Amino acid sequence: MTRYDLAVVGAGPGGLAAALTAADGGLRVALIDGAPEAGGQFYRQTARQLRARRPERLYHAWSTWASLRDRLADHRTAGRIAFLTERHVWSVEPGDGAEAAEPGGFRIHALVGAGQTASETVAAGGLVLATGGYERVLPFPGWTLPGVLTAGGAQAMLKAGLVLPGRRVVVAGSGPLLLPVASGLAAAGADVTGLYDSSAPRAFARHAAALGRNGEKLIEGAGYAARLARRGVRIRFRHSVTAAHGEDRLEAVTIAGPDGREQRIACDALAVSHGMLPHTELAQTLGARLAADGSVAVDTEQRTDVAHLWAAGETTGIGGAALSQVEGEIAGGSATARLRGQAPTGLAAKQTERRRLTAFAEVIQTAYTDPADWERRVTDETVLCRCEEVTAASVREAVSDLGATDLRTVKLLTRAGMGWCQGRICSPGVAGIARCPFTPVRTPFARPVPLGVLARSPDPEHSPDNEGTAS
Amino acid sequence: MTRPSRRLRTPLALVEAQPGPAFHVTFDGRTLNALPGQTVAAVLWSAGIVSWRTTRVDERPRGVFCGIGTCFDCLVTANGVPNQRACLVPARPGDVITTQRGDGHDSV
Repeated sequence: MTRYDLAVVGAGPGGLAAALTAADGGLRVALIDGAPEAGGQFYRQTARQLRARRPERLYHAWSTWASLRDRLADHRTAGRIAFLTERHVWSVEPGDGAEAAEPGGFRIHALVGAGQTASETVAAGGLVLATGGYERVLPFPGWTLPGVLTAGGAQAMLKAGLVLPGRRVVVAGSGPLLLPVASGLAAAGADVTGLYDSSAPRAFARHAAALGRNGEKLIEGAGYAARLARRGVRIRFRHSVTAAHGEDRLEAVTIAGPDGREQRIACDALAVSHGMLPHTELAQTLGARLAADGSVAVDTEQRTDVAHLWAAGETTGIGGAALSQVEGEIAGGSATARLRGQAPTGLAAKQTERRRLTAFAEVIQTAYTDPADWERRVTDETVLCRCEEVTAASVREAVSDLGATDLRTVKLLTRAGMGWCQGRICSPGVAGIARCPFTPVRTPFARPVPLGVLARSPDPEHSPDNEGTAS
Repeated sequence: MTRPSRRLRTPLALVEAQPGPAFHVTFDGRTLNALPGQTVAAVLWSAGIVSWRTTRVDERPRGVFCGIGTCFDCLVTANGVPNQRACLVPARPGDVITTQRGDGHDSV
């Protein structure tokens, strides 16, 4: 089994920056990602075989991406970074199998390829988790109809496969992601009938001072808004989607305005999301502490409270690609020094930049708000857990009749969150309907694993000790 | 900066894609065109198909929801193998794709 100085899980802006910085510093790095190409969600690449000659038309900050991509290519050529693509990490464990028991050291187990029926193992002295985030979607009647999908999902399918979810598309929810999604869909030919965000513009005005220090981010938002205006797409704040209609596929949505007035809009796709949540399963598996907001807690060097374990990007708090990249650079710089038993130098400028971007992200998180009264609008028949088909009525009964007061008890009583996705999709909605605190999903494995993989040792050819991990 | 003209507004035209030759797959017996590099979900969307699974309990139709492999709503049966995420699995020439009913195990 090849042992690397550092393994990085996730090749989005955070993970890429960490891997590149560590390789610049002379470490031998394994960069592991589930996709066939680097980029993560923000820079998700169009499938190579589609041979896009002008891919930059689907992206923001393409020059930043191009620089990351070129540096990765150089390090791969030089043998400093092994880029392990289409590896879906399902478990990490302490101990890298080295003879001398040093602090730190990890083994990373990943399912290989699209079929995901075989597992392989990478060992490394240090580990950076840059596992990113996933979208939070609050439920509403009709949200399980085909044609209703997450805003990020619509964007991912467009960037990767050059396809649209429909011709007439409504974009709704809340958060900074909606602008680029609506802009991208419109540029690619969708008739985007409107962008509806439940937040109030007044909340942004209240934080004008903090926002004003981040001019480039404001200009980025204004740029999207201008492009949408040019394509005739209306942006409406304090408007929420309250229902999706149709028999076997989406035909229309109901949008409610601030005065309670509702309008029905015909459409064949709805791209919806209400912000992002950090992916923290792997960090939790290793016992890393989470912060109060559910993200992985890190210090000023992006170190978790587990020796030789760093985290960077959305997994340490939602803040966007630029912040993720700075965090990755700090993590990579820290790892380069710390894995050699030295104290890092030269991180101060990056730490200042991180503080500035974090302050901006916190204001953005506060300013974007959930639709008012969304819980009340969820009818009893509405399916909350999409996998196990658990309705709002069942969840409400678990609270009112059976006395559940936390998400775990609701799950055990109703099966909400016990299906394929392990509650990643439904937990925010179930917690809201049950009026319990939202707690991050905790699962034995970071993704469903075939029983055959668990029954075998993780990497029989390469693990001399032949230890199993299924116990 | 050049802006693509109105008549060119498709995703493929926007990025001036020049994919290799299209190939065929079938969905519930119907022949569909597919482009190299596209996932099963992308091929189905291109044909205007948005659902390819019915749920285990209420037998309701489902398709893509998260688009990135997290939600498992887009499960499909491909070449007789059920429970594959259509948003991740690449389409291959000659794929036989069928609507997955329930857990997919009674149809194979």
